[in-house]
Amino acid sequence: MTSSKAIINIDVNDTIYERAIEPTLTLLDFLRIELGLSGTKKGCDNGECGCCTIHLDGRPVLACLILAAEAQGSKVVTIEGVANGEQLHSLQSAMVEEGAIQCGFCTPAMVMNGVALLKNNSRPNQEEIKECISGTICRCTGYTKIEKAITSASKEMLK
Amino acid sequence: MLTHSPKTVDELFLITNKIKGSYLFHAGGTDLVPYLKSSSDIPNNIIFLNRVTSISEITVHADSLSIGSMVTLDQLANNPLINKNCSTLADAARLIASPQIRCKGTVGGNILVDNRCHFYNQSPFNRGSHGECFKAGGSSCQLVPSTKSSDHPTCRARSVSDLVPTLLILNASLVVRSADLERKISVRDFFKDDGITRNTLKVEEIVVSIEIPDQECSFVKYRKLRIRNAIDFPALGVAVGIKKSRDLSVAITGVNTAPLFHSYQLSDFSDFEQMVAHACSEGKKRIKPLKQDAFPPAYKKLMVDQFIRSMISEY
Ligand SMILES: Cc1cc2nc3c(=O)[nH]c(=O)nc-3n(C[C@H](O)[C@H](O)[C@H](O)COP(=O)(O)OP(=O)(O)OC[C@H]3O[C@@H](n4cnc5c(N)ncnc54)[C@H](O)[C@@H]3O)c2cc1C
Ligand code: SF4
Repeated sequence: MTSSKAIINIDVNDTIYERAIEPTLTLLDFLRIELGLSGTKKGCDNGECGCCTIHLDGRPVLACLILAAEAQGSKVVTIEGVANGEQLHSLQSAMVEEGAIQCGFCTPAMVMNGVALLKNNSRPNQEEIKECISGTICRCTGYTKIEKAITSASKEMLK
Repeated sequence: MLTHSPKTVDELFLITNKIKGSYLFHAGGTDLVPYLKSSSDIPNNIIFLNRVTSISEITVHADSLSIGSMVTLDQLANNPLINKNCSTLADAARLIASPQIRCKGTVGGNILVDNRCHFYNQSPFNRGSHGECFKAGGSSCQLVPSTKSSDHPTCRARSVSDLVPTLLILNASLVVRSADLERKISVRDFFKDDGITRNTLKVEEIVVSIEIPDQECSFVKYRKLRIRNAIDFPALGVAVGIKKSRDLSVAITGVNTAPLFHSYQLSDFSDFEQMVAHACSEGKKRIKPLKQDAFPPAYKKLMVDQFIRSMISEY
C-alpha cells in the first residue's frame, strides 16, 4: 500500500501550523502529539465519551473522529485558545466558582461545549444547556454544577 | 494511504478514474474514522467530500425537496425548510448520536452508515481475541455462532440509521452518480438484507442528494429506543406515516440486518383500528431481535407495538 505524507496548513488558536503528517493521523493526535496541546483529552478515542471536543470552523466537534488531513485550511480552537491571555473566559471562571470541576478530565470539553452554545445563544434555557453537554460524559460532578456554571456564565456575559 | 480533496463532482470522478488501488469516500467521517482505526484492511486512498460544495445544499423544487448528501445532521435538524416541510426528519436527526457528532456527520453518511454488531464493533485487540468473523474476513459469526460458513456467509449485524425509517415513509429517492452515469433509486429498493454489503451502492458511486416528494403522508412520526438518551445508536427505531386516504405505513430500524418497510391500505381492513392492530402484529412478527442485543427480544417486540400505537394516538 502506498503511503505518502499529507501536507496540511491549519490555524490552531490563531497560529498557522504547516506540517507533513500521516494521512491516518487524527486531529486529536495532531493537536496533542504534533503540537503538544494536551488540554484536549483522549478518552475513548471512538466518539463516545466526548472528551476531545474542539471547535472546527466554529462548530463543536470530536477531534478523535476527524482526520487531520481533512482539516487542511480550517480554523481550530482548543481549550488552550479560549482564555484571553491571563483573563479566563467567563465560563472558565464560572466552572471554578461553581465547583464544576472534580477530576477535570471532561472539563476542557465541557468548556468547549458551553462556549459554543453561548456564542449562538446568550440566554440558553435548562433544556438547551443539558442538550449542549449531552455528548460529553462526566463521571464526577453529576452534571448539575456544570449546568449551573453555564447558566451563571451566560448571566455574567450579558452584564 | 493517499488523501484527495476534490472541489467539484466532476473533479472527484477525474480522481477516481486515475486512482490505482482501492478508495473510499469520506463524508463527515464519524462512521468511517472509527472503521479506519479498527480495520486491518484500510484503503489506498481516501477521497474527502467536504469541499464539494454543490452536494451540501437543501433546495425546494416544484413537487419535491432535495437534500444534498453532505448536509450535516445539525444543519438538517435546524433548517427552516426541513422543519416546515418534513419536521419528523429534523426530529429524527436531533435523536442521532451527540451534538458534536451531528455537527460533523452527514445525511448521506447516515443513510450509508455501517451496520452494528457488538462483536465486530470493538478494538482490533478485543476482536482478535474472539477470532475474526465473516465481516472481518474470517470464517465464523461470533454473534450467531450457529451460522454456517458457506458460499454466502450471513452477517446479522443490525442496520442502525436513524434517518432511514422516516425516509422510507416519505418515499424518498437517492440520486446516485458514477463517472458516466446518474441514476435515481428509491430508498425502499436500496437496502440489502446482508450486514456486510448492506446496500446496492457500487464502490465507484457517490450519493449526490436525497429527493423527498411532496405530500406522501399527512402525518409522520419517529420514535427511538436506546439505553442512554444521548450518543446511543437505536436499539429500535420505528416510524409511522398516515396518508390523507388514511392508508398506513410503518418502517423499522435497529433490529434486523436491513431496515423494514410495510404499507397497509385501509380498504383491505374493516376499519382503521383493525389495520393498526394488523400493522402492530406484523411489526412484531417481522423484527428478528437477538438475545445478544441491548434489550431482551420480548421487550423489543413489545416496544414495536407500543411505539406504533402511541404515535398513531397522536394522529
Ligand atoms: C458514538 C457514536 C454514536 C452514533 N450514534 C448514532 C445514532 O444514534 N444514530 C445513527 O443513525 N448513527 C449514529 N452514529 C453513526 C454516524 O455518526 C452517523 O450515522 C453519521 O450520520 C454518519 O455520517 P458521516 O458523514 O460521518 O459518514 P462517514 O463516516 O463519512 O461515511 C459513512 C459511510 O458512508 C460512505 N459515504 C458517506 N457519504 C457518502 C456519499 N455521499 N457517497 C458515497 N459514499 C458515502 C463512506 O464511504 C462510509 O462508508 C454514531 C456514531 C458514533 C461514533
Ligand atoms: S453478525 Fe456480522 S459482524 Fe457480527 S460477528 Fe457475525 S459476521 Fe461478524
